[in-house]
Amino acid sequence: MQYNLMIGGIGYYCLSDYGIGPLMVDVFSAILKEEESVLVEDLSYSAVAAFHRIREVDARRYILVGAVKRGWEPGSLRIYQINEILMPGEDEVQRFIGESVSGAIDLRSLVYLIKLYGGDLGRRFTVVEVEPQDVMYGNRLSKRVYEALPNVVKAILRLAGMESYYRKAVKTLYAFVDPEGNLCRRGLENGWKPGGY
Amino acid sequence: MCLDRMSWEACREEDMHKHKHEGGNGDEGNGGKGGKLRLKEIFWDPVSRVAGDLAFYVKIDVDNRKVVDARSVAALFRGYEVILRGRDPRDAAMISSRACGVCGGVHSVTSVMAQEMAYGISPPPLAVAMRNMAAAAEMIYDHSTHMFLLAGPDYSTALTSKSFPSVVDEAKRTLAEYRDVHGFTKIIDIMDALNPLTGKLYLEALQVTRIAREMFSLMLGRYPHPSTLVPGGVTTTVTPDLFTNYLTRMIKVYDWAKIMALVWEDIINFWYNVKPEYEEVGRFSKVNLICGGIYDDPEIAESGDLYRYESAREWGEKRLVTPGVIKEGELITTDLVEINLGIEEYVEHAYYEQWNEKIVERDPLGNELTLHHPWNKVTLPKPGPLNWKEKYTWSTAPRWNRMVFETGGGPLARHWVTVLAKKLPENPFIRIKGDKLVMHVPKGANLPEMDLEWRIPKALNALERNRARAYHIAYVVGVGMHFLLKSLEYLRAGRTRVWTPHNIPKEGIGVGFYEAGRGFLTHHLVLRDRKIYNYQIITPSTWNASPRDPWGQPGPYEDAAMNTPILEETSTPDDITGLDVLRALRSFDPCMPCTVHMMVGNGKVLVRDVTTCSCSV
Repeated sequence: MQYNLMIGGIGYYCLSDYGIGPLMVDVFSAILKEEESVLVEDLSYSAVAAFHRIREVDARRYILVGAVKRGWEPGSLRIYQINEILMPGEDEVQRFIGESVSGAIDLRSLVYLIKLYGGDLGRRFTVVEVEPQDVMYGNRLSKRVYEALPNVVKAILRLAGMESYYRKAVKTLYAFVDPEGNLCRRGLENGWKPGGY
Repeated sequence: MCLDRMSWEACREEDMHKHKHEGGNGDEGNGGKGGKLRLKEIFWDPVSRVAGDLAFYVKIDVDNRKVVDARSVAALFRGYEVILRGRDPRDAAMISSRACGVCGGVHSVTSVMAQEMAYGISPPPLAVAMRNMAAAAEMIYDHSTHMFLLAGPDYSTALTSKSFPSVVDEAKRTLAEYRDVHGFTKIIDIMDALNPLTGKLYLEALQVTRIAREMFSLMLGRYPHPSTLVPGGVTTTVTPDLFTNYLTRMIKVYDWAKIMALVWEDIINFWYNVKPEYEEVGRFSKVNLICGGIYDDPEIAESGDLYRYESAREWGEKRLVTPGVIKEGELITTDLVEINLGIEEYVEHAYYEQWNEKIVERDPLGNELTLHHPWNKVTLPKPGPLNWKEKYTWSTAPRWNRMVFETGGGPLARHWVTVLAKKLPENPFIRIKGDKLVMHVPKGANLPEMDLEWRIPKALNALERNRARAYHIAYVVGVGMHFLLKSLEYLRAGRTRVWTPHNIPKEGIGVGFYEAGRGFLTHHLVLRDRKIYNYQIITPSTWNASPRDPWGQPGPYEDAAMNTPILEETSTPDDITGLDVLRALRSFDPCMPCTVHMMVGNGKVLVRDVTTCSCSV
């Protein structure tokens, strides 16, 4: 069966704002589990491997979500289609591929790979990028990114044509992230007391 | 030119000052006039197309086109040894795996081997065979990646035409000897296929990485960080399908192995013909190689002797790649105990403090250990300014019997030691014939079965590191097939056990000896009160990226760079790009994620958590 839509999250759960990609995977996996035509998957691994996976899935449409630092206002969203982007210079693309095959997890590298090698596949992709503030160790989102979460959820649902899930999605979201912005809260219950904003 | 005398920051300031007031370009060495040397400095930070962050400094005598000084700088701190201290030892494989996103699998396996030694257990034969099959798949990933995505572009038309236009002209006229196998008529066709992003071989290599990842994941659950690898064995569900799925993927690699070996055979022979001086590029001053051996004999596991320190010589010598040390071209030992006793680490030129506690006085056989042995070494990070006279890197200086050894970029040491040792266990795919390795690769989709021959080279240099790596895919095809057949044999005989029950002892020591793609890898473990008291990882890139040691001996990258003549075709010194030095460095397949990891500013070192490759703990 060909999926109508694949939602892929990319990032690092233990690297503060880079956790937003995997967080969205948790949220949408939970709320869309009954939707057989939608595949939600964590693509937080080498971009080359993720590209191979995307090709294998061959969905009609894709939404990729994650944090990419580009110097914008933290928490701001960028939504674009892959066929619209300009490629960086060849050396830079090589660097992204080199980093990817040596293990780096990065939404930007995946986008470039799709644009470079995906051919027409690129037309099927929409990317939701969040500008991170903190990209250091820890499970905690920055305040700005935490505040942007409902907008990220809303943007993905709108792109998916599933706005009716919004309330459920936001409720689910706050099951995965506590009021202080900590992700994986359930995994950290044993005695660890995060500070609040 | 001041880096010999002061810190990098101060030097940069002085050069800027000079530039501002004298209009100099900072490239004229000790005056640049009056008969003095004209020197050019290049500081690559980072060196591109290597895994992780390697910085490298060279000082080039532009008139004589010689590298007169070279310094290898591991730019970031690796905190795994610090993170692991005080933890449950069972965490070690999962955490230390994150040391690298290319070769996380070998770190995990090495870690469980160290634990198995400390716990006094051996995994069952089927589990050993499956680990071997996974490691073979990892090598396919690793070497294909390196030879076509990282080092390969150095020999492509795109790059060669900039620095060696005459070589490109010659390539257009030269027929490729093995064109009937790989399908590229002339050398220039191979060079075109090596072009980054668009070359046929570059693109095929990207696809091969997928096959290799799948093969690895079948055996150990996930790549690069295994999910079904545990001390005592594996937790993979074993069915006949598992092995046929591995086989169907391996069959796809058969032809790739032949093409890879012979494409590089053609490229390397061509370079020797058109630029005989290239023999000097990346040459290590002495043929000093160290290899940990890899691919254990599953049969020893049944006796319980596998990974017992006391019998390390026996099980080590039964590996399908023999461990050993080659000193100045002579094989001097294949005994893992002897190899272990000779290992020491020094930090005189690295950002660490000297440790004073001797944790382990003697090994389990009663041999005395020095303070610098990894069972005694403690990681005490101490960030500071870069200063060539004092400290300039986060890589320590590992030495064997206080001499400098390189890991041959992996395959070169593996092949060389195995051929000289002549202890290769009987198997249907790999054999030794005089000074040659003969690797039998079965018939693939397009190419017939073939015996590929690798011969001990005359020199230890950049081209030979690459040649051995190109042939090593054929080697590991043999390894994978050998252990696949063994696994099926075990399955048919009902020997399906994959895990050995065990308890964690209160105290113990262990060491895992293994090979990562780029060479010798060890994990040393000391247990106290069932917790990790000390954990030390020495990666191949730590051996190779080593700085000067207390006796002033340069590390392998530094030594190889200083032996590298500047051969690139340029009209003025300013045009020198250092491509020859970069080729020398890349031939080692540097993998700096595992040499180093993370440091934050203001002298603070981060050890609570790490960024790393493909990490999703």
